[in-house]
Amino acid sequence: MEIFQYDFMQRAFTAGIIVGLICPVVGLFISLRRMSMISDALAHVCLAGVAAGLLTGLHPIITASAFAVTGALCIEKLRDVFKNYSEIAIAIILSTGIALGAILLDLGKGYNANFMSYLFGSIVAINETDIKIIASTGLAIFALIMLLRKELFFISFDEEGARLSGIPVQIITLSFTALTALTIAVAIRVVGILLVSSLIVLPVAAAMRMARSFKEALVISMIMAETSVVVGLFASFYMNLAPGGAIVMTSVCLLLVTLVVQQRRSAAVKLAEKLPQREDSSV
Amino acid sequence: MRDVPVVELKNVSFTYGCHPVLDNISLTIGSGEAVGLVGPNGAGKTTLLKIILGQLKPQAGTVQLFGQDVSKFKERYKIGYVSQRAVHFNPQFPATVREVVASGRVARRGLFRPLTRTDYSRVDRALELVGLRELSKQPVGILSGGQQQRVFIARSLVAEPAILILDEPTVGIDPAAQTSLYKLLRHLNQKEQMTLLIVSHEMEGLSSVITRQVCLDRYVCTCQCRTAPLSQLREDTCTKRLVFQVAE
Repeated sequence: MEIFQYDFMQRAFTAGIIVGLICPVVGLFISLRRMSMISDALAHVCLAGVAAGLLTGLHPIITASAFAVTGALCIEKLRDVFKNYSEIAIAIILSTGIALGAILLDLGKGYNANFMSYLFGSIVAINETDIKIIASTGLAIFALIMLLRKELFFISFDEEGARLSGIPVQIITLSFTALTALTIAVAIRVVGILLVSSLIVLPVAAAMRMARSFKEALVISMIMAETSVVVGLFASFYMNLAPGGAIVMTSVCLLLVTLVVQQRRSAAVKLAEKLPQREDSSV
Repeated sequence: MRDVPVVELKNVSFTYGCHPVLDNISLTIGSGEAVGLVGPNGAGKTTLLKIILGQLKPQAGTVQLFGQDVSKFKERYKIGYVSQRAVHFNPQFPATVREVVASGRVARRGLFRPLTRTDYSRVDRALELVGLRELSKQPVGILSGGQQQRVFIARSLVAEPAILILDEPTVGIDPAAQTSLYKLLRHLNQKEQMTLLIVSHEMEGLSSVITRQVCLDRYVCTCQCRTAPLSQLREDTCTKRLVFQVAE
């Protein structure tokens, strides 16, 4: 196939498939804990991280990772301070990320093509170093979350119950938030800062409508995300679209199809329930 | 040599700010007992539970679990706890009955260790015990209040606890489900030798389950044997400060 003859497309698919694996896994736990907005806040902290990387000459994914992990830990600390208003913590970090990013970009006169590739994602811009960072970090994140999934499931379902049963809830929550930050930092190369949270939330939203069990939700969200990445990258290559936009729009389409199918199915079930009653009453 | 008590509180006092909640409370729960802790709203039942569970630290007195100070007690799985709030989970959470019950084995198995066949056989046994084996693959959110209560009891049981603590287990479930819950609790206590501590604002229905009834009213704690009806218990004893006794 023509598309796979190009090295940059091979790299884009490698990075995309890894990102498509970790985003929904992280996203499922984030959504179940009703913290979907944390990914958006951390993505905006990555904006400051990328700007710092471009300013200092360090690799932007490395600086974005450092900024995102710091931001994530700050959110956890602030959630403690504003116990019953945890969304305030997210709003504070989101605005701090944008403000710091704006200052750093201005200092480095960084509004250039390279920065734009981080904002919306770019398939041509992914180089060998990016792949090494994305692959090593991404696979480590996936392995750690898979190893902690039974604890994360319990904490997401019933945090108090998990704590009382002896699970080290605080350590696991902090580790998970740091892993979320790293996921976002590695995913921005493919889908971009502005769209990364969509790849984290949308496949999970579709999966949660279809799944009857946690295992099903995990598998369906991964299938949805990988389908979005692959279809999005094909569309990006053949139609010359921004990869982030193409991937997320595919995700949106999949979610819409899921919602329509679900609605029709539940309407059919309701109709089937009514029919025997009518037959009974007519007898 | 006498058995080490499962729970032992000695002269425990607790104050929220300047409001005394518990004053010089002593309570011992021995292995195999089924204790009912009763009292009106605001009597300090939940506070007492939180102290037993190590969530609150009393200003005075000592709390021991299995002969160990509660702050040093590490074998948390030995304390099965079914919270009143457990049934208020998100009903759209994608989880089956079996997945929720299996999560009760997680702390027992330890970090980074997947659940084994032995764990799942315990899960199946707990589901059998609470009568939910047929519903194990159903999403937990579609069950009735009474069935969900049983799911959480099963989740506690899979950890093989030595004591099961239930906070207001009858709230929000219909009379038929209550009767079947009493039957289950009786079975756990009498056939499975499970020590029970049941907290409730009403103890009438639970009288067939418990072996001892403890009354907590305002910050004075009193005790009575199982044969006394609740009304008599309040009249006779709730005005005096007493030390707990085991009914003969």
